[in-house]
Amino acid sequence: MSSVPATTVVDQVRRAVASVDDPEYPGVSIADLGLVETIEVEDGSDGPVAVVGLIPTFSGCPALDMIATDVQHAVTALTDVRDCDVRWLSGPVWSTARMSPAATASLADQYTVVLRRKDGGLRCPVCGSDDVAVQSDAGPTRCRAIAWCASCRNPVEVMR
Amino acid sequence: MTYSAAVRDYLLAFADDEHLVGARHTSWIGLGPFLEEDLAFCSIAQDELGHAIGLYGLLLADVGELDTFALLRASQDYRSCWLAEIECRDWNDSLVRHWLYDRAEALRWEALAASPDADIAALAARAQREESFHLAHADQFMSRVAANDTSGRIVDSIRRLAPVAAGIWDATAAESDVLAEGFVTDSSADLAARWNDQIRADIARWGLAAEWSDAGVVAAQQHRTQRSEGFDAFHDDLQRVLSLDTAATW
Repeated sequence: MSSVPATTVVDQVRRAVASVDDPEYPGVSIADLGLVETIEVEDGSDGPVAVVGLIPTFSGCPALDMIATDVQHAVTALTDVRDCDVRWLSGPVWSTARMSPAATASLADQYTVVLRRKDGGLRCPVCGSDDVAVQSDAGPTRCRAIAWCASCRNPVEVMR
Repeated sequence: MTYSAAVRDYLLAFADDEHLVGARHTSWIGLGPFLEEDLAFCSIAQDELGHAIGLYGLLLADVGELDTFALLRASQDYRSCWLAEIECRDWNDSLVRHWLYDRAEALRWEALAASPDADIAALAARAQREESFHLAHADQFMSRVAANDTSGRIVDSIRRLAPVAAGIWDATAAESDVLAEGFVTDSSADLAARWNDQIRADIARWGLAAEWSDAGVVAAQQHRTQRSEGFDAFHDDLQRVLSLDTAATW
């Protein structure tokens, strides 16, 4: 048994999980994208076991295994944690409302990926124009649609 | 999970439908009629395979068994409907199947979203969000090709595939027990009636006229215990890589 208080270990695990980036967006944490739902630390026979509950953006996302492996590696690297159990939870349902302002800003700045505003409109992350129209609901990944800015003529991707 | 045998069979039917229709959709990767459609159809296929993984996951205690269970079962142990199994070599057939299947799939998830079982209800809530994209895609594509169906190919596809699609509503043998348990409240027959109204309303809205007669698929499927012609070749294809080395870790 570890002598470190469980709450402290949970904080360590939380930080370790938050250090994992989405494979599609290096530099953007899965925690900021809203994929992390539960973090618990249980007493295992050989020491504390972290149980991390994640939710996928879309059921068919092919990056799920990679994300789970990255979380496993990050958490088991902690000296106060013996093992890590990563679970994909069936609920709640992910939506763009789960993304933090930091993730939203990083996606716009680094990846020209934007979120739909509450009024339904889109703003081009390159030139700031609102003259952006969706071209295809299906983009390069399950969670992105393809739009086009009529002002600066750049392609813009939209989290959906 | 402690599901009854009746519920397991019911969930297996849906899981196998999702798995096989998703796998059939993937045959268009790189071959879609244009780039955006290639991406869209692959995205839909990925979602259906994701739904299958979620449903199989409810049936399997150990997710490590997933590939073996999904791919290496004997053909008589599948509970898929024929619409999900058959090969659609033409794009018009694949498109029409996608529309007929997703219309039905959305109704099946809607029914399961109301289940008292928290796991299936949660899975259904996520799938419903994704199905809204699939239905929008089907409507956008079908409404456009319907307006230009001068050769009658779309109508021909509907005439041939709608009777096969009716087999989606062939209930597993013990569905009455599933209803009696309260796992789901809408029977396949209830959903079939709503599906029929929806697809006929779609056809009318698209300005098409298509009539068809019962091809006897529901009876021939025998509560989803019988496989369609050509299933074995499809099944061989699906398990080809895994069979190379069943002990390998992927």
